[in-house]
Amino acid sequence: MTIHIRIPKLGMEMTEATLTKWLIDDGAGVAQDQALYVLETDKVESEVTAPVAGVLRRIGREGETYAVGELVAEVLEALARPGEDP
Amino acid sequence: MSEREASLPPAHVRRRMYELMTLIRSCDERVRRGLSSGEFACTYWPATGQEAIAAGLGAALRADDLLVTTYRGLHDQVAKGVPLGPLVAELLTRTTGVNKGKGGAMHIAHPPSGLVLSTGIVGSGIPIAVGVGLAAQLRGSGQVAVASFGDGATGTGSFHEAINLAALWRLPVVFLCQNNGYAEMTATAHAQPVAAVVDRAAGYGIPGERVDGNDPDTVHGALARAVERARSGAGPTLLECTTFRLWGHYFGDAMTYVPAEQLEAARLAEPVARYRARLLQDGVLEEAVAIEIERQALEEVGAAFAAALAADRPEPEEAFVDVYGERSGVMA
Ligand SMILES: Cc1ncc(C[n+]2csc(CCOP(=O)(O)OP(=O)(O)O)c2C)c(N)n1
Ligand SMILES: [Mg+2]
Repeated sequence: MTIHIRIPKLGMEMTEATLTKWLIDDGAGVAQDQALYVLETDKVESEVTAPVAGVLRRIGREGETYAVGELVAEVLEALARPGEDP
Repeated sequence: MSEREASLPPAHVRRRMYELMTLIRSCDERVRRGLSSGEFACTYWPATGQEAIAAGLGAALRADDLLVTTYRGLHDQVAKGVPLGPLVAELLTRTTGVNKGKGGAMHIAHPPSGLVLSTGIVGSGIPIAVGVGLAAQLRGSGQVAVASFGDGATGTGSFHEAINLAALWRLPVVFLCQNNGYAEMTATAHAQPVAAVVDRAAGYGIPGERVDGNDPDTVHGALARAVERARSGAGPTLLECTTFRLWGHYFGDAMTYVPAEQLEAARLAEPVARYRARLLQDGVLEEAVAIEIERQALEEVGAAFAAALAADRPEPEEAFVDVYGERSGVMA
């Protein structure tokens, strides 16, 4: 299953953020909870982690500012989780 | 039987604690997955890494005992028995939540399960738990009140006033400090003049105990002693459980202020996998049983999130409903 990676809303007032740096290569594998990219809002940097394990397909570009909810990547999930439809 | 075995909780209690820890971790992972993928947005202060304390609490308390916790409270709330569906719905601020979606993570309250409330003001829940304990004493109900709070809260005036009064009146209260080493970005050692939180107990003439908060068996034993003491009328105990918040203060916290070696050590001491391995080793769980417990937790969590995500959010007018018991004559 493909999991969409959208810009998260990290604060009440946050509407957009800058993807400052990818920490994983395009097409590379990621582990669950591994840091995917660095996001900067109001001069605060956060590391956004992979929600699932799988293969990363980057969509967003470094240095670009995106609105909350914009699609910046996809992770092609490695395995279906038990108890969930694939 | 070795000394360690003799002091261990019975097998059914240990299994129950593993079930609680698994359910808490599954729920926490689901919240973080939703947040990091941008699937939904909510305020969240992860208690990842502190599950063993909650498990000990859930197993040591009676269903009618009362708990006041904090914004970092998902573990405590699940362990106290707040139903998962309405709990998750509240996190996601839906009308089906325990507070009709108007409280969010910071203000979870569910009196039917004894979760009196959760507070966002550091230290503020401690005197509330003392009031709850006073009510139990006056009614002679035999209930015990637990105040669950962080290391940072021990520097507040309310911590001091609350314990002072509870000790003086021998109230049936347990002061449970979940010492995770940090208050926001400040390390405990930079915020307190004593070596350990538990050292403060002497100032109130009450017993204090400091235990490994990542070991549910030890936490359960210490809590059982404190709860028994409170229920018997002997008064409060200060219990310090040492632990670590594995995902930092808030969701998205990169923890740049935490030394790498400390974080690495904390990850290795992570309680859920550690307890699973121990229960397998002690013959309390079989691999197949553990897997079934984990599968059931995922299923329960999956259903709770699916239901919450399908529910509505409260309308703005709802902000004025439930503020006072009787609204007429109170607000224009
Ligand atoms: C009275 C008060 N002061 C400051 C804050 C800001 N604040 C929010 S959480 C926090 C840290 C509390 O640390 P601790 O008690 O150790 O709990 P933890 O977050 O580690 O669970 C602070 C200072 C607050 N909410 N309330
Ligand atoms: Mg703390």
